[in-house]
Amino acid sequence: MTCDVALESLNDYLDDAVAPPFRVVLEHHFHGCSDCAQELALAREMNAGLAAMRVPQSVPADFRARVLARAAAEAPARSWLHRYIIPAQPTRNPLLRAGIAVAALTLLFSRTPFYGKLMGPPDFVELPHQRVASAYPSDGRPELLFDGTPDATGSRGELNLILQPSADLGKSKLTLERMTDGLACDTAGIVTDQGKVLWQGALAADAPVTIPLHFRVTQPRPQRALFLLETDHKTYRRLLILPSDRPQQSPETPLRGAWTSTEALERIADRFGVVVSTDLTHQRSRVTDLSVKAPGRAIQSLATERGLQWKTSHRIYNVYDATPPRNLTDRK
Amino acid sequence: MQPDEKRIIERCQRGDRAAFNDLVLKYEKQVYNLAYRLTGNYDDANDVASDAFLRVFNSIGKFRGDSAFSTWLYRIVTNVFLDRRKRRLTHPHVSLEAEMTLEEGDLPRQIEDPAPGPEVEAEKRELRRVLQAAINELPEFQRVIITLYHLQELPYDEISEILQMPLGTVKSRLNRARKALRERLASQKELYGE
Repeated sequence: MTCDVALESLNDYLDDAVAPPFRVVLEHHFHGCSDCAQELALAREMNAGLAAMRVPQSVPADFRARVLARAAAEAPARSWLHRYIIPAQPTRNPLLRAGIAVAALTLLFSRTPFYGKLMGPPDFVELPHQRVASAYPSDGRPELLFDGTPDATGSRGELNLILQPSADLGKSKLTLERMTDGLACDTAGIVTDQGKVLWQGALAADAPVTIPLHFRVTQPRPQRALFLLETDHKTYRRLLILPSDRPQQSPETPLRGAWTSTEALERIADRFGVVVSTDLTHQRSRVTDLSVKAPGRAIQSLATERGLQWKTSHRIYNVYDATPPRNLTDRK
Repeated sequence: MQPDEKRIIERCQRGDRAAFNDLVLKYEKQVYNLAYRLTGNYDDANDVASDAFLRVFNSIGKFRGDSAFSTWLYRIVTNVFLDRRKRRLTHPHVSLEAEMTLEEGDLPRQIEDPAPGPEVEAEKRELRRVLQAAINELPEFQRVIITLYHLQELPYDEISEILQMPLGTVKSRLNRARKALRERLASQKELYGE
């Protein structure tokens, strides 16, 4: 057998599509010819590599909304008659044909009061999204909000992260930068040196993007995940504190120690089994001595003491610096 | 064709836009994944997938049910991908490189890996990176045929329906594409000193 014939049959051989006698001859050749054997090894490696590339990608959260918006924008350009009255495939059903005739007649009398009711174009199904008032309406800083029903006290948690800018921010990228050991994020994304890129696209004013997050908590202690939103000009960070899977709820819980605001919030998350997200820049350890019954009250006390703002979005406590820094790129 | 699929398609053909919403919902994963595998990056995958759905929206009336709907859909996605290439040839474009460029820093194109960990994983990742670079160098049509066969794992007869060419031609073109990819893989490996 010549090398040409062997290489010609290489793919069929790997696809298991050669007859057994020919297979033996081929294998004999591959055994004796180092060039062809090398080519076979490369082909095997290539097939294995291609098989490993079959990882399914998750569809961006706003993909369908954008497709539907484009289709809606395009629809008026098309013939009314074809879009709404005449089906693309002529029907053989006599009843339907009669219906079409009636519809066509109705169109002729389109100035009658019945017209709007009978012939109005069917509207798109509105995709629901949660809108939350912006905490920083003036500087265009995007909100990184968390919503949904956090079930993070168990071994799994599902949360929605909402990116809601109050000004156009252009090309943007959201990365899950770091997580504590014992926390895993099953949300699909591209893994890079900086973390896992969960979403990228254009962020426009008043067009919130919702990214569903799936967490797994494997160790019973408060877990943290740091998110990074990069836009054309700025970088924003947001820390999410998930409680341990054994929230300690007692009638009156003392919180004492020299902690930064984030550490104090982490303890509140742990003690009360709530999820907290923070957007705090200037962190300095300070003595905290609170005796509280409810997470809201604990956060209220902490916020008053340290000049922070807070609000809840569903069962998540969002805590911010009262005055965001001017240069947000310095936020590290 | 499944009854619910048939119903959705018929409603779409009558211009029911709520049905189009259902159609996108049903197929977005398949379409997006094929687009991602063809283009190799999120930006282009987004464009190809949404252009493909728009083409479906505009021409669903032409779908006669001669082939499976998914075959028809895949044909549209590959055509959108190939048409973009024609456009690029007439209006040269700098894209299709191995990196997506953002204003702040570069993000190397990588394939999603949900469980990064041991060295074996790192090696696999490296192979996939080199392979992706080699695929990016292939002419578009070869990229299409490699994607349909190796990544989508479609049988020859379905590929022949999607590309509307005889089975024999599909096989010979696939063989040529695999050979071209092997050559590029070898040169990529040389380039990265393996």
